[in-house]
Amino acid sequence: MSPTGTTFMFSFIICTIGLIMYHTHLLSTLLCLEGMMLSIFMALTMLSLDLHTSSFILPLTVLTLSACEAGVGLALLVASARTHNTASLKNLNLLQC
Amino acid sequence: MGFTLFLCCLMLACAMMVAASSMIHFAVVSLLFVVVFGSGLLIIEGGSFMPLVVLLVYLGGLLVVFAFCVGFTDDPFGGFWGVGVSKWVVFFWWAGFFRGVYSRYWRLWCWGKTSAGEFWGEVVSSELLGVSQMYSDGWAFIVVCGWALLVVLFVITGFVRGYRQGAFRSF
Repeated sequence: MSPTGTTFMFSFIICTIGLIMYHTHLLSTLLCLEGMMLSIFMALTMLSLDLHTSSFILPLTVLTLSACEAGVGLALLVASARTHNTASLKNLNLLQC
Repeated sequence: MGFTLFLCCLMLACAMMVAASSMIHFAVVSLLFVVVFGSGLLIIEGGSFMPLVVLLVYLGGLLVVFAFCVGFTDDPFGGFWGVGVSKWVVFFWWAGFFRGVYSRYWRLWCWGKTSAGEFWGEVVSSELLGVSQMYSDGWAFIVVCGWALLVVLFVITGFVRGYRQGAFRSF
């Protein structure tokens, strides 16, 4: 495996660990999710560049779905801030509200 | 090859600062640098169109995230690092990075000796072919992803609709 692919795999693992470990604010969780999707996108782009297939349908699909995910996450942030006055991830626990 | 490893280490360091810092402004800026260094890696691998897409579209979306960050964090300069062990993880990563910059053999031992980025002109010319192929053969991609974006628009308006009909109701 080329060192660039290893780098993208490692950055995916690092962002996954950050997603698991930090439950402080909703935006930090969203940023870790964006980092994961960005790592997947760049790994797929590098795969299609390495295989000389010159087909970018799969990475652009992943990029579009990550844009959808970011939009829904920011809408959740706005809804949480409007109804609970804060966007801490502790408030998303539905048993406590 | 050395410049590729340099960009790899910088991208990993910025990804670790995204994952570890609980200070969200710095996390957004670190994600921006992850995008920039990853685009540099893709340029070294031979791509020209997709790093441009990432730098224009994804950084535009990240600007929205940064605006939300400024607006929604009530304690922006509170905890500089995350709790626990993550401060030392980031510190030892940067220490190892600078040690690796100054001693080249340590990097070569750590990463192996594979080479990348050998086919420059061939891939750059065939990439424009891939873009046109996306619009001709990949029409299903256009339809499905455009429909997904439309559905997400209505989902967002359903989330933030009102104080009684929204997704999160304070009972």
